[in-house]
Amino acid sequence: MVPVIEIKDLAKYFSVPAGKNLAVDGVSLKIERGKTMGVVGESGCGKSTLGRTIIRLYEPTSGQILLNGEDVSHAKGAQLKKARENMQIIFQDPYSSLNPRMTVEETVSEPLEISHKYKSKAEIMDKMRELFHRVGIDKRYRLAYPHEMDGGRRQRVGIARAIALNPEFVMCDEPVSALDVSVQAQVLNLLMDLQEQYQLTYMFVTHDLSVVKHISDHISVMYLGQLVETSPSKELFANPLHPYTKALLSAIPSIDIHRPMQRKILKGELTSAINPKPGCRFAPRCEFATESCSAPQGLQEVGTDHFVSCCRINEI
Amino acid sequence: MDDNNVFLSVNDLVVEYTSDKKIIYAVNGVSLKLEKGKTLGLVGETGAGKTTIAKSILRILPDPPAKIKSGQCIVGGEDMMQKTEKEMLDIRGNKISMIFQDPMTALNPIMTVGEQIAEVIKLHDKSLNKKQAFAKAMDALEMVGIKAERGGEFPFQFSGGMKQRVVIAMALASNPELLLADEPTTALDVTIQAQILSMIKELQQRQNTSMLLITHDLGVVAETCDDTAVIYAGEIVESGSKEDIFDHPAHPYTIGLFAALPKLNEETDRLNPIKGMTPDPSELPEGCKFHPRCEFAEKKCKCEQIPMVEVSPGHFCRCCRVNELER
Amino acid sequence: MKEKKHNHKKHNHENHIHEEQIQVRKKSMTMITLKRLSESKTAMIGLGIIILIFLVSLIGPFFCKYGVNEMIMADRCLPPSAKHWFGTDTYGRDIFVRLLYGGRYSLILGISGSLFGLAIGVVLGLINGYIGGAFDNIFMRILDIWSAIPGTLLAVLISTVLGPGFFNTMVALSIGSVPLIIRLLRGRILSVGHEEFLEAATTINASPFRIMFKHMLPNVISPVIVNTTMSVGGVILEAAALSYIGLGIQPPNPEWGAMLSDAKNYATYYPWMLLFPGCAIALVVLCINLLGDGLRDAIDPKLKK
Repeated sequence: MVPVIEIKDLAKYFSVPAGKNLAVDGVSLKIERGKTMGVVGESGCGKSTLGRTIIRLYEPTSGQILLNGEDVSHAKGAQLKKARENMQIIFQDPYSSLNPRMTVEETVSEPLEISHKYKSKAEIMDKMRELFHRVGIDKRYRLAYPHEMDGGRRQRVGIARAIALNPEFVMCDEPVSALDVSVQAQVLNLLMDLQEQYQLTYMFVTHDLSVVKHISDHISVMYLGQLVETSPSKELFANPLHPYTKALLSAIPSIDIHRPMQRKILKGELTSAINPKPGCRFAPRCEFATESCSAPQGLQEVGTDHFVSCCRINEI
Repeated sequence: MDDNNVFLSVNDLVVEYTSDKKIIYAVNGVSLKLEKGKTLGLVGETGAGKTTIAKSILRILPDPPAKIKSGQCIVGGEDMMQKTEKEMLDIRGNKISMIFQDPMTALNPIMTVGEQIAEVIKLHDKSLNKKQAFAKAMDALEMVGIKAERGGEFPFQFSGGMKQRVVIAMALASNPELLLADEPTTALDVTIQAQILSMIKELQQRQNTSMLLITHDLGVVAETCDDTAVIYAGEIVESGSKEDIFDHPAHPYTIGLFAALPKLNEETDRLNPIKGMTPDPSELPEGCKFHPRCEFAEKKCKCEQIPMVEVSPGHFCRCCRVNELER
Repeated sequence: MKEKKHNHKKHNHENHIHEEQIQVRKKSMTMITLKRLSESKTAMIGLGIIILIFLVSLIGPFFCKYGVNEMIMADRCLPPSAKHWFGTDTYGRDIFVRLLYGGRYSLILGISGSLFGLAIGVVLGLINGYIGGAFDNIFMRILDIWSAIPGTLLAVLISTVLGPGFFNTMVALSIGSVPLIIRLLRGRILSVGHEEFLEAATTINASPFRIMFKHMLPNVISPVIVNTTMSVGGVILEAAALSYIGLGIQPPNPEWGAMLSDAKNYATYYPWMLLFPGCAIALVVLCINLLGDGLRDAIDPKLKK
């Protein structure tokens, strides 16, 4: 089966005064229909840029984006429009992702009006009512403005807008990290219900590992623009191999007060991906770093679908 | 809890905000106790009144719109509510320090970090001259793991985690007896959060500071606190030792919070969210504030003023059905 | 807006139970702003006086016994009296009538000049904000040059080139205010420009036009509206300045600035000729500033202490 999304060696560089910021640098991955790919990493690791480049909010610097096998990496005009209807995004911040001067109804109906798939006003209203029902917004909120709703409802409006055109692929950019725990669970369940109903394919970008474990089939760990490890979800949590993945997993605050995690506290902080040296970008923070780490690294398969980018993987 | 050892005690605190002719009931009769050298975790969701409590203790709520209606905040035997503004100036940052959630806005962008810390130190020890204060500021920076030579840099030259370290250095520079930490790690990444939390804990133990840690993250509470209080819609719904709350949660809200969390060591298909939304603090429900969302709600939950019940020694719960629901 | 109301009615019968629950239509930002504005006493006084002046200037002359340009040689240079309330000028024309009549020109010129500048500034500002990047860099340098020329000088230049007349004067008066409007917009766009709803609009294939006018504009316009209100007074003064040096509205049509200009040589002998038009201009500018102040507080309550 052709994966819904496949990216090959995708790169997105930004020019900054200090040089080039390699926000996404040579990332390859594929996502099968109806599956969820979790992408985790710290802020500034390029996970959001990766997602936005895939849905073509940014023009990729190099590499390929295949949507159902069709190369859309440099699509223009009608082809780009068609591709965008198929690839949508749910944003992190339900405050800034909704136009404060538009009512819920205007926000949700806008993609329907633009797409020309719906001929009459009545058809649009019908579709909108269906969407409201699907995402669980009470009709009473039709004419409300974003500032009159709470975070959970706003996020539901954002979801309704994203699924309005029946996309196949939805990139979820930290959709629950701005929400309270009790509401977060509601939204996560909603996302999973929608996935089942519509066979949606998700890319789920987050820094919250317990959330990503819950929702993902497959997880990729990013560090400074590169994938350091990618593996099926269960395998990654059971058998993390890259030193960064290990540190990341051990840093999660656990609510189990009787079995505190063996902490690996990382020294230092995420540096930046501006003009990096070749070689492993994690090496300056890595306790196992040796000279061999300054050579360029590549992903190597260590198990079924489990890839790691670390030259010392067999030694540690 | 040993009453003689209580360092901070908040009694029946009521705070209201007025906005657009509406009254927002932010804090409705909160009582807290914190022992010397211990950490109390105050857990709750957005808008539950956590930050308002901390700001009330420091008396830094803007009035208007906020108004402390009644209550006491006793720190080391003295009621902060009775202090004059001049006395409070001496207490803030000296006896009580606060760490804010957002390190980006807590620092003055046009002063070097060293100067900012030195300023705090000089304010509270007026015998020091500029040079001595700066030297002390450098010590404070070293204490939080920042090299002293970076003291001459400006906040924008620091990353988020580093800024939060600077903020902590400022808060701890005067050896406060009470530290109010308002979501100190929420804006940071997990690996940095782990660094900062372990650092705060270590410094706190070294200085024997009492800490009120405000957070929405139960994981953070589990890692750092001795006691826990759960707040919902401006009321403490459950309080007790960390073990009480995490091993035997009694209030339906606390139970619901735990159930809603995705867990790392469990396989579940769907999470169990708490239904509904937190109530609008200007139109709080009668009786138990949680009853519209509670699956065990009964008629009596709607009309009574629910008292705190002691379910086991030191473990309190504000639920009128807690004894019936005992599993 | 119209469209929305229409839907509202159409589906009213279907869910009127729900409609009742949310009472009337939820208040829009504009409604909230207008309500706040109406609560400000000074702004309402300012608005009231402006409307009053405007109405009086429109219908007033019909009820006066003197024509606007009617010269009564016997009544030249008379001080205020029961016969001529504000006195007469050197040609024996009644100053009261001329003030009323001139109010039309001054007010309309002030308001339309500001609005025309607003329109140009908004279009250029939005396009610049949408494209951004290197274009913005070049465009800003052009603006630097543009705003380096004093507004009055620019108005004089354009007025000279285009020649006199109402429309030309309006264009001349509005050009000077454009750079400021663009700059104000640019600042706002830079601060909301990275908000995600604009990205969201891109992902649903919204056209650049739609993104600029439906998504950007309503979120960046408020400080510009306030600024434009405040600038009406300035434009009236500038129109007066143009007339004063003989450009702009041409005699014998009365315009407040032109009346001042005519009176300048007789100020010491016949001070009323200068006093009344001067007071009229000052009153209107004051009222408009009061209104603008109230509008600013209403739009951005945070600025108000």
